[in-house]
Amino acid sequence: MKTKSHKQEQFQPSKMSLSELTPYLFIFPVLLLLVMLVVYPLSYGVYISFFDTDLGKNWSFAGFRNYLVIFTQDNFLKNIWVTFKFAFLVVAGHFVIGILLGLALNQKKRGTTVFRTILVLPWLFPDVVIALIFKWLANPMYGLFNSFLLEHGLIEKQISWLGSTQWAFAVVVLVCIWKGYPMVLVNVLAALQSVSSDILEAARVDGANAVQLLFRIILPAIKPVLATTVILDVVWWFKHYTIVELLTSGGPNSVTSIVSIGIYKEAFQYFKFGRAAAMAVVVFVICYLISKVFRKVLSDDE
Amino acid sequence: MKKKLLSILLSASMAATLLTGCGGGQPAESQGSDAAEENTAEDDSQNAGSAETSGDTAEAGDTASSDEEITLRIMSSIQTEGEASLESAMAEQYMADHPNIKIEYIAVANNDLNAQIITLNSSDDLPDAFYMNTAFMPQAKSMGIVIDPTEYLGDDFLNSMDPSIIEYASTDGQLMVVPWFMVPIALIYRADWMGETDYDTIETMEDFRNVGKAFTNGTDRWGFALVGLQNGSGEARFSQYVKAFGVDEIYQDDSGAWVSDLTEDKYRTALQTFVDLDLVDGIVPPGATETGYPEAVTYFANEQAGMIISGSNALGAIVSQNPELDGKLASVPIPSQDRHVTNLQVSGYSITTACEHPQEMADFLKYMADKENAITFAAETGRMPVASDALEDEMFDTPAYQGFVDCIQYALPYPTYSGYSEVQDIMGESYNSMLSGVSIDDAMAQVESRINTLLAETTE
Repeated sequence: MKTKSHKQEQFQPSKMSLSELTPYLFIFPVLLLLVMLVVYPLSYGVYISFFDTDLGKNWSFAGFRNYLVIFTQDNFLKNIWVTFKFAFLVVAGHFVIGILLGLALNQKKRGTTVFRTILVLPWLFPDVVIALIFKWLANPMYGLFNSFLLEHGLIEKQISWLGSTQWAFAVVVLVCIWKGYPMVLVNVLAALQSVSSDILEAARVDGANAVQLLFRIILPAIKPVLATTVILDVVWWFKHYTIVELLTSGGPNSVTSIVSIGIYKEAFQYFKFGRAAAMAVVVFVICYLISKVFRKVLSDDE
Repeated sequence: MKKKLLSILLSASMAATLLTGCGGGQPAESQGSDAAEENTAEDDSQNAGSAETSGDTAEAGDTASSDEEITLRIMSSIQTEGEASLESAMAEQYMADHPNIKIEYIAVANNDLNAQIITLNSSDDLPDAFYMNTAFMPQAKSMGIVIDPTEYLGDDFLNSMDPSIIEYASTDGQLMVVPWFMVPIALIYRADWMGETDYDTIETMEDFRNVGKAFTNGTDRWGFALVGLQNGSGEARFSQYVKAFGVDEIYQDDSGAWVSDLTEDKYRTALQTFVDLDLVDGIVPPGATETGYPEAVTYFANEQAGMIISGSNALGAIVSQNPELDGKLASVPIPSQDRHVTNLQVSGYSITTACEHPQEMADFLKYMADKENAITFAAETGRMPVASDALEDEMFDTPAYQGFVDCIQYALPYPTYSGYSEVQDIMGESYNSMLSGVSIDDAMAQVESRINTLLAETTE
């Protein structure tokens, strides 16, 4: 209480000099932006989740009914499970490929700049373009995949890559790995360049091999960057929508039905905005918890 | 000190920029949507004469004076499609004839249209009119965002079309759409391939299946381009298929309660025979569950499929992809198991409650639907006129259009149930899951569970 009143005494704009006001003036635009673009939409989303509404003239208070409904229906829980699997595999793929390529491109050899540019390209393409390209590549009748495999006798008849429950999820995950690994690559590459060569040299002198160097020196050294990257990547892909919607629309038989597709359907196909908002709030909480867990697990406290 | 002054000026200018960017207060006529592309179909020759070209003009008691500048903002999905230039040309001609009218199109992809309208409604920024998707009509009625334009259209216009068209364009007695064109659903087939079969025409589901088998060689030619993707397009086609088996997906019983045939044996039979076209009869190209409308049309246009259930607009799409097919196509009403059926898919623009000049808007929409414009539009797009005299034009007296004209008599009323899109999704899930290997028992159990939950929510 003492501290609070002390702070209140401190912040009295009318008594502050220009130099004291300057930091607040700098903060104000960003604060305003945050309130308008983050705080208000989030709060409004939570508010909607307590209503049955079409966002027009029909608003009826529903209390926690929307939350009860989504947790008692199989579809939402199934979608959440699919999303966890999807996000885990995609992020794991990003990190394996991103770290390996980052290590390879961190060497001072001729041509690395060219490869850096080429390997970052998937990140620069819009999601829609990538989804449509892969949709046609995987098309059972015209797609390059089937054409190549048939020509080389590796398959006997066309495979419906995006239309079979056996393949669709794997193909969607692979496409999303291809799209997203450059983000990890760029971050890892930047972090690797900050690892001291003296430490690496000292470890080599002590007899460390390449694997020990990677797991004992390099990865711990870039752990803060990896921690931030994994949080961003998990949250990003947990709420991903575009590529999956365009490739499979959540099918076949809901094997690729991630939660964002369910939310979109609930809102803009069934027009149940309250229920969709409740689902979105749950996803927000999950993403927040994921972030907290990763921060805890990957913290440098030890 | 200079640095401090500079920093203060910078921060002040940043804040001012923010406030300016977020400021409202502009007149509605100049506002657009961030996600939408706004086009002005304005002709250079605006000073041309102002002759009335819209045919019969309705009671124009509240029409604005001819020299009042009027801007009509129309949200159009046509503007994102191949027919954009045709629509714009009509607007340009109308503006040339009515120099005080300015028509602005806001182009929004059809898949995003409903979401855009809902968003704009929540921010009180509805356009003057928007392209109405049939499935959105009950929701739009519930939201109260559309006016009934009957009084602005006049009897001559409304009497010029079959009453079933007006019924399709209405929800619970309110005319929701100014009918512009219709896209009835029928079966398109390769007339030139029929010589290879024992059939002259396709009347029943049995004929349909047998012709499909005769068309199929199993390597590069299949009988039927089935849209098995679980989306609105696939569901709309499947809906007509099951209706031919006597299924009514959702309707009100004598007591007024909403009930469904989806749990009945006739739906089970329809569903099983539909997926059997692929799984048993083998008359469907590989990858049915990922085949959407564009892929199906491409298979047909590339002569890899011989039949497709579609709206009349597919005729234009097929011939534009493969002009050699012109004259080789024919159509029949959806084959009958229990009955012939169709969805007329009457389309057009709805005038919103935000429109300050409904008379002028209605006049323009009538102009778009007049005989000459409608026939020109149909010739290019396959979207058929709504006016009866336009339908008598010789272009519709061809094998390609015959089925679409014939099927109009079999039109069933479009369900007015506000959750109809969810009912369609339930059906979509059932065929998509079965095409993916789920058994009929499991698929039907899922259908029963979802439809009963939905009906119970409706009752609440």
